Amino acid sequence: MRLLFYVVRRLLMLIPVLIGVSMLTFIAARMLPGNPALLVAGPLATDEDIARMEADMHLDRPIWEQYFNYLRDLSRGDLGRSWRTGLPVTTELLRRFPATFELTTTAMFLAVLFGIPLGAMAAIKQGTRFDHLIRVLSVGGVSIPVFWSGLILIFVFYYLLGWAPAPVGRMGLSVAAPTRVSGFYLLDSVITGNWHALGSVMSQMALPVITLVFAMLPSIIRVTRSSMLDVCREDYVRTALATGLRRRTVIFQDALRNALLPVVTTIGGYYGYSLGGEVLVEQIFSWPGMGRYSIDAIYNLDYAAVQAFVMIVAIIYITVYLVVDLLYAVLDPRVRY
Amino acid sequence: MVSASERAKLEERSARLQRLSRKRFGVVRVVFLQNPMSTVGVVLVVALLLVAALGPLMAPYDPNDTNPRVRMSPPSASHPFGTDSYGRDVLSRVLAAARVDLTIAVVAVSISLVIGTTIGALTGYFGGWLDMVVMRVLDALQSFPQFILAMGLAAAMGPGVRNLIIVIAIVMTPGSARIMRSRIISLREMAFVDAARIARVPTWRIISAHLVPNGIGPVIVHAALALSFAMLDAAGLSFIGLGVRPPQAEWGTMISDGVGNLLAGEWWVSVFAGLALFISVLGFNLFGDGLRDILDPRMRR
Repeated sequence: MRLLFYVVRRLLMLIPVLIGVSMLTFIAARMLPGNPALLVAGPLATDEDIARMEADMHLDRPIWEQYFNYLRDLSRGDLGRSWRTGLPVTTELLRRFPATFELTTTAMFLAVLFGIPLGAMAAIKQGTRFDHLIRVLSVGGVSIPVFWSGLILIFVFYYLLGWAPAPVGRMGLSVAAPTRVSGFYLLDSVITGNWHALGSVMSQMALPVITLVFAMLPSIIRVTRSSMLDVCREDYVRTALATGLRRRTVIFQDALRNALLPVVTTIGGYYGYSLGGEVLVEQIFSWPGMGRYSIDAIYNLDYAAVQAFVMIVAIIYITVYLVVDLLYAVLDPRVRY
Repeated sequence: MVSASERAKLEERSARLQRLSRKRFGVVRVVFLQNPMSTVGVVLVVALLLVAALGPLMAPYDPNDTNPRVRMSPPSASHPFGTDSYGRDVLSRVLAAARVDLTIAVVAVSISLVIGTTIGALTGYFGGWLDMVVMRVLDALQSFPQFILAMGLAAAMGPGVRNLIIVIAIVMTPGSARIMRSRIISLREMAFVDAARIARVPTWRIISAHLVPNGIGPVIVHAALALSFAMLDAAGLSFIGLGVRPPQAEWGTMISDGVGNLLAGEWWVSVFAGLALFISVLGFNLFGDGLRDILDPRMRR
């Protein structure tokens, strides 16, 4: 029951944040260089056309009314139209969502899989050569620009060694995409038993996933290490060791389990954060996701699409944070709500 | 959880460091001696500053001089980093870009530091509705992943160095504001603040002369690390065409210029520009970590 109250309160707290986010995107949208009506109407439009367009788009209304219209559209999931394709931006972005989601989630899964053991090991062996090596690698890792490391990987593994396929997107050029079930190619090719497609999907994903994993690893290693160090100083760990329990048992059953809580929150945060790096990685690997779509939109001055993308990412980010927060409250009996 | 011999070694080392820490600038010396990585950071940052200051003097060619006869020539004695598709000398451009990238990062972070510290100090000291409103605005700003917010703002404002600086400053401000605010909230309850109030020190002086200097440490650490993020953001935005405009030399733009050549095996434009960016960011990260050990002892381990 108290948990339910907590959830409700946490949801209510979202309201001011969402209002703030919507105001920010609205203001940013109105700051756009040039008259949006002019852009939509095209270069051949007469003054009358433009005036009609302005009335159509409600640009002649007072600014507060425009904001409320924007909110109304937003609540219906209408984020405007791309003037390049004429399609609703929401449709365009949703169509590309599986590509982005699949890439980020696979990378995050692998980063967690390797990051937590490496971080925990570094903490257990604090001050040793292994610990130093991990620290050097992780500070190096956060310093590498993702858009550069991705390019280097392409150069080495595609151009020089020929191990990786050309960076042409989610599927090799000569392979048909698996029958659409969920939109996630990995899942779809397994469901339909299309092993040929699965191979192509996996080899196409390899380099972008590696790029993202290396971008995510350092933060996960860092948090795990410092959280593990904190926990190892706790009395109950000392007590457990003093009672003669095996070190391995204490580390894996008592220490690590408690150390993982702050790690969960951080991972949630980085999942949203990595969507930023994702944009650049998608651009490099011609990955047909939301990020690449938004960069194309920037090149084409299709600002409604850019704003919509920013808005959707903010919503994903907030949702992930919320879920992680709630998860934390459920997992940690010490959290009072 | 270390073996006996390792523990003896560690104890001996910590005794030596403790003796050292009692000398002048003890903490600084200990930190940099204990952690050679911070020393590397300082060396890299100093090198970057030197290149930014003297780059044009060191450059063998004018960074914007095109020379059609040596287009895309690989690294050689006359062009150590090769030339790009316009025949411009890559080394000279990499050197010239140092000033651009460093200026953007330093100016943007300084602006965010000044504004963020002010916001944090005022909201932290006065609280109330001002605090409520400002905090919700910061919440909203931080509801976007940093790079995505920068992208959205830059798309709205248009490319160019000045806009890039404004965008990065906006993105960086909430972090320093929050840190300052939490420091002020814990400091304002302390006895020395009450003493100052009783002595009728004016409020603005309590904030500016007593509270801010006491709380600035973690904010400075944050700023040093923010410099590395600012550089990555600036280069990333320029990479997608939202930052520094060509023909001005900038690392992100240079990496993006070299993408097409990279797939033809002409690696030098993207590789050297990226290497310069990587080394600079690494320098700020190592430097920031060392600074944190000095200014924020709670984090020391």
